[in-house]
Amino acid sequence: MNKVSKFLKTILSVVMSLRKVRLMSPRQMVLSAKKWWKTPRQGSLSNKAVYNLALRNLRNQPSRTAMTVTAIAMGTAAVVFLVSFAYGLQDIVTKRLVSPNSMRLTDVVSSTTSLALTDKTIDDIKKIDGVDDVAQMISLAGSLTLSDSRLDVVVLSVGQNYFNYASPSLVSGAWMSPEAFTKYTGATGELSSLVGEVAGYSTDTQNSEDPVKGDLIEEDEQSFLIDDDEYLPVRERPERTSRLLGYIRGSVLKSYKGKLVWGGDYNSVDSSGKTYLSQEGEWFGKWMRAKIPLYKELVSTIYEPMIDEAGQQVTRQGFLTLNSVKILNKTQEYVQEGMEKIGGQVLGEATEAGVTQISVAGMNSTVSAELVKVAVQETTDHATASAELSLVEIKRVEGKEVVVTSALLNTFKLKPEEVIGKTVTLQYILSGGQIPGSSGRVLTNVVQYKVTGVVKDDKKPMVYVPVQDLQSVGVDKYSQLKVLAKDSTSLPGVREKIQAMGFSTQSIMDTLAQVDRLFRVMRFLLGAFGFTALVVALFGMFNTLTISLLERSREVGVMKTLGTVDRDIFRLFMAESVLIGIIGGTSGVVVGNLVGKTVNLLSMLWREDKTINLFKTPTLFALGVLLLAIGVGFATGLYPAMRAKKISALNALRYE
Amino acid sequence: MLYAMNKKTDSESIKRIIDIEAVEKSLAPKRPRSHHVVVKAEKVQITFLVGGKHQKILKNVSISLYAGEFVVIYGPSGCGKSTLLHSILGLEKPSKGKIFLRDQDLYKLDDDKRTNFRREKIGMVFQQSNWIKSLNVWENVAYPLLLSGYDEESAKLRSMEVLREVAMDSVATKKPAELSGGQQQRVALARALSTDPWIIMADEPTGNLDTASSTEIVTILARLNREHGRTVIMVTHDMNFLPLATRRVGIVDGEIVDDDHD
Repeated sequence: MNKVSKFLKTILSVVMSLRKVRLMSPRQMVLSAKKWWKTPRQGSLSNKAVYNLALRNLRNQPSRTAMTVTAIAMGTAAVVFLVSFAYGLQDIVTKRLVSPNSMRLTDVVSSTTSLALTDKTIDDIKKIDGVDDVAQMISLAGSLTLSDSRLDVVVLSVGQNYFNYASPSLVSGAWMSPEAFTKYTGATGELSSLVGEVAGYSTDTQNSEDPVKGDLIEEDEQSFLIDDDEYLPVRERPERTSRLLGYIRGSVLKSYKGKLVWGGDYNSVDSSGKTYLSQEGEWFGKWMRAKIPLYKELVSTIYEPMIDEAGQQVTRQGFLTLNSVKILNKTQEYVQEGMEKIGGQVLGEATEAGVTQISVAGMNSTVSAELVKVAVQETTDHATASAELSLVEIKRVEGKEVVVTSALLNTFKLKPEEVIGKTVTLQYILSGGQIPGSSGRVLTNVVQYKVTGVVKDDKKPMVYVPVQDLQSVGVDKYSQLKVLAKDSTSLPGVREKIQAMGFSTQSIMDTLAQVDRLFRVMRFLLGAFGFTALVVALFGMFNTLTISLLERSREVGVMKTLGTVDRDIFRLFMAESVLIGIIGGTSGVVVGNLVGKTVNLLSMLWREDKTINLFKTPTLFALGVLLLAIGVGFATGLYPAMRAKKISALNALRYE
Repeated sequence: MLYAMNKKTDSESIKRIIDIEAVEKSLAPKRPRSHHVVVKAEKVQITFLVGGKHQKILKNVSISLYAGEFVVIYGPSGCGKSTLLHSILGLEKPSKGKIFLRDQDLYKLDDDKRTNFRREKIGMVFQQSNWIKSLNVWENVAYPLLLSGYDEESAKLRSMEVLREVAMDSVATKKPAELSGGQQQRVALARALSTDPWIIMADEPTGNLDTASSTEIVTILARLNREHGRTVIMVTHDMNFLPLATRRVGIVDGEIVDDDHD
């Protein structure tokens, strides 16, 4: 009971003195520390005297003290060395992940389709307290040609500031020039002419005179496409009842040319089949007249080319209904030519949804500012769903610049200096929804770019182009935003606010947190190994202290007889063990650190990268280990010190 | 060595070495007994448990020691004289009876207070030289001073002063173990004197010494008693020094059998 209250009193006094310390000025602290050090309690030794005596006792047994201290030092050094290794590895991993800005950077993506990242989102995010900058990026597929070779690439269409935050390192060359990022839109004049052209088709032709079957509706020749692997009947005359010549085979890679003529009516989803009602009350439909390589039907749905005596496929002029026929405008024609030239792999490979089918449903074009929508409806007799293909035109062609990845060069087996300044062509493939009002796949025209730089990325063949190129065709949704907070501490708040807006955020901090969790386990395991050594040292120290105590029991008796109170005996023995802990711990931390540093230096001789250190000892950790060693000294000293305290003074008076 | 060469016959050498009369002549005359009681033992009975049997070491010892006395407690080994000394030191609580130092009932104090009391009032000289081995001569002498709140500097001054008194200041920086037995006992005496105690207690101080050294030590004790009026209590089984004491207490089998004073 007495002991318990004594203990509580001690704790209380420590707490009280700590409170006092808090209220002190630095000068007062120094003074009171001096006082604490030098002034003894009544009838007791001063801290200084205890320390001096403990130090003397340790020095009196130099070899024994050296052994004990060395053991503790080795244990401590083991902890420091091993855990420093874990810290070093973590540092290496972290450095790989982290770029200068990444600690205050977060990626923002939209997790739902209904919520898009737009310019408005950027404005809203910029208004958030603590946001420094926002960079936008649109990712899409593209088809690149470089010196007659073609490659599907991932295109990152980025804002000018994006490079500051994504920071891929330049291998060669330079970023795109600021001029490449200037905003532009399609020229109005050009646009209207295109609209007019299309509008011409879309209006129904209503002549005052009734047409004759077979008469041309338009003088101009049209390009058209048939859905892939679709076989449509070809008639001798533009009438359903006329003789079947054979079949036309549809392919996205093969466009046909022909002219629109008037013919008999037929069933169609839109107005093509019944376009015009004559004064006699006869319906006229639109037919396509063209020279067509013919196929014959062997059995149902199995076709083979129709071959003449010379072994050539029969090609004859015939008439087609406009069901499943897609008529191309000038732009689309241009695109189609490009596609046919490059073998049509664009659609097959660079788009996720597989082969895009192109269907024609007459000239029912919807014209938005920049988007000419040709195919709207799927009108085939077969119930197969077919995606839409739309075409847009990038108007400005001069001054275009692109940065490519090293992986792309590797694919072409080219060196950076061989491509810098060279011209490549790019055609973009946008997926549905990236342009307002479109829902299918959207192709752009082929645009020429000058390569200005190569960045390090050995995995993905990618190109970086200015975001303005895609903005010019009406893309207003971004795939990703990079948001730079003013500092790393404000990042979590910024992320929270962006998440509150409904977006998902990703930050390298998340990854780092995971990395940290992983390495915490590693540190713990390695630390545990090291600690084992420390525990062994602890037993050695315990043994030494006990032996020293037994040897000095007479001396303890003398001290007591001379008037040393029990508490001072306890303090003396504690001081000795804590001193061993301090000396051993300090030298252990120093040695462990030095060994790590030496390995770092040696590894630098072998490695080229001078910045990578295998061993890293954070100061706080080193201090922690030092405290641990002192704590070990303290804990080990407790029992011998308790025993010493209980030694009878009469030991000094018994004769041997 | 010198002593051994001069030694002709036992009787002759003993006579020469412990020429008490010569010592007596070198000292001031004995002082008369004062009336101030310094130590008072009241019916002190101390029982030890030895081999499962209670053994009475001291049987009802009552004695008063006065200020300025040079008391020699003598008796055969195992008579209980050391035990009496220990209980006066506050290290051996009597089974029955009380010990007073001046008016303080020693065993009414708690351990720490008794320890402090001992340090301040009693200077102790042991049979074996007992040192804090890691400290040198003056530091050992200064040790009780540090306990009494002296700072290092004044402790050193004071210890050098007492070392000079016993003519040991020349070896102040040596380790005690490097000194001869006689020298060590002189240093021990200096240590006992350093806190200027009421009483000097010496437990068989000559036990491990040759005759010459023994004489020296006892002479110093006697001189301290006569010239400085210090109270000295010496336990010994060596009857040779009895004439120098002012009071002689004989103990046999735990009882005082002889108590005479000048």
